[in-house]
Amino acid sequence: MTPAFVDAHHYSETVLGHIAEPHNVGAIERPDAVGRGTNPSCGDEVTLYLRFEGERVAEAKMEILGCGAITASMSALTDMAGGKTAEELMAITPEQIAEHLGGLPRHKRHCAQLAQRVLRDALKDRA
Amino acid sequence: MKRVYLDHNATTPVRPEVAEAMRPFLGALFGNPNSIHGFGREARAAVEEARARAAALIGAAEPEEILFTSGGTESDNLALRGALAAAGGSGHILTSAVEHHAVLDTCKALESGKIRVTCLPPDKAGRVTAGAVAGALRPDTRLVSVMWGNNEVGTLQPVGEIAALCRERGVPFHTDAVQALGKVPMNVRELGVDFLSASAHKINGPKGAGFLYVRTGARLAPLLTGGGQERDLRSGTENVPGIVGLGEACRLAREEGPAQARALAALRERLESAVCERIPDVVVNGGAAERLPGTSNLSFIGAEGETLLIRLDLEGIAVSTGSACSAGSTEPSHVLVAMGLSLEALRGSLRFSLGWGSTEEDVGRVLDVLPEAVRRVRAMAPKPEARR
Ligand SMILES: Cc1ncc(COP(=O)(O)O)c(C=O)c1O
Ligand SMILES: [Zn+2]
Repeated sequence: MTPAFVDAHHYSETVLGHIAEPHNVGAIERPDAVGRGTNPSCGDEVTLYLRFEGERVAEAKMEILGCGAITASMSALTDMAGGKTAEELMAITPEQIAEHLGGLPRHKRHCAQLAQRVLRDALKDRA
Repeated sequence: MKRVYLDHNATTPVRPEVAEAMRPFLGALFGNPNSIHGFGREARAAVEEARARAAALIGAAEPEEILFTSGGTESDNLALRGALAAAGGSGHILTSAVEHHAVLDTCKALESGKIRVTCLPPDKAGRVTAGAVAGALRPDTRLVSVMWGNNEVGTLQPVGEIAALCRERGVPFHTDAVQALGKVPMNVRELGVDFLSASAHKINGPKGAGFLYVRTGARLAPLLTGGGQERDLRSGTENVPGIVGLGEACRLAREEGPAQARALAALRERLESAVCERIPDVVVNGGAAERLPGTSNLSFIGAEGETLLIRLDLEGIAVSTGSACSAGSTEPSHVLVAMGLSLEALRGSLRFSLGWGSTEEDVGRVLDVLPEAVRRVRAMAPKPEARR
């Protein structure tokens, strides 16, 4: 299994791919849930939009102004969220986000953590 | 895809003349310069030739005032630790908040009950004035250390005025000239600088070689003890290939530096004016100060530096955010923070540094790619009206 956080300061090819072409960028017209978050240290700002059909996520999109790691983390998160129930979303960890990206540099752990916080903020918003 | 390298403040390509000069010392001329026999004498002659070239580049009175080191970091450490040790290991160091980490972290490491450090804040353009230095001098100040040219924004400090002030007050003065070497005229003898740090890899020489200028009469204790090389101030068998490369790089810088500086200043001007024309909301950090000719630190408001860097990299253009030496940290640049940039400007900052080999075409490539990269990054940002 790939480790979630690695001792490196360079991004993997997978992460670079997400930064070059982040998935699911933009807003959702009528979202069921909106989560927001910032990283005070580096100034990252994110918004996550979720639209549910029944119990499951039908669409997840995001807007991002931040470093490479938070961009890739949000891109990964919107991929991972598709088809999941709220309960399943609550179970997503920063480690899983990093693993989805094939590993993130250890000093960027806080970016995967921000992605998780924003997700939980959105779920609170829906509740 | 032709790659474009605009990160010369991180490191520079080794010029072919330099590699050529070094080659024999990786082959037949392998002698130890401290040996008495012919092999040793050949190596010694080459080392002394390099010393003379380094001395000539900075206007040192004597070649013996040049001590070869492993680079800028060691030179800074030797100046700071060595000068404080020679002064009895106690007292006050006066430096600036925009120094390279090689100076700042060394000061931090030295700071103790016996050694106190003052870091002068710069103005908005990154400048520290001689007046501010005068105001912060204490009776027990043992060293003033202010860099010549800043690696992140390029701001030039008034080292001449600060050196004159230090002379007058009888306080030794060190300047980290790693970035300024070869790019601005330098005459340490006229200025009255006591210590000056330099590094080969920033002037198209090899990595792992540099020097510390030590004015005759300036008091310094060694960090490395052993065989007594470099006038007992830096023991260890000399890095002969590196030193020869450094010497050749100094010779080239002396011959071509002034013309190159003019060309780089013109290129930088073209880059900045075209970027500001084509991209809205750009701030030229340090733009109000005199700067190193090839350095341009720009903030793209509403965008983010690292993602811009990666987008440029995918197009084959190499630039940097903050200091290359602090890559791997997520803290914003201490230099830009000290200059009082807004969070927006900190987040959106990018450094372009031009150097030997940079061309109009390189700048043209940036102008082809950057506006679209900034537009795309800005377009992804959260809209203020996002909440229902
Ligand atoms: C201003 C300044 N001082 C010191 C250094 C360190 O030099 P070196 O890499 O040779 O140790 C650098 C390198 O980035 C620098 O820019
Ligand atoms: Zn971040």
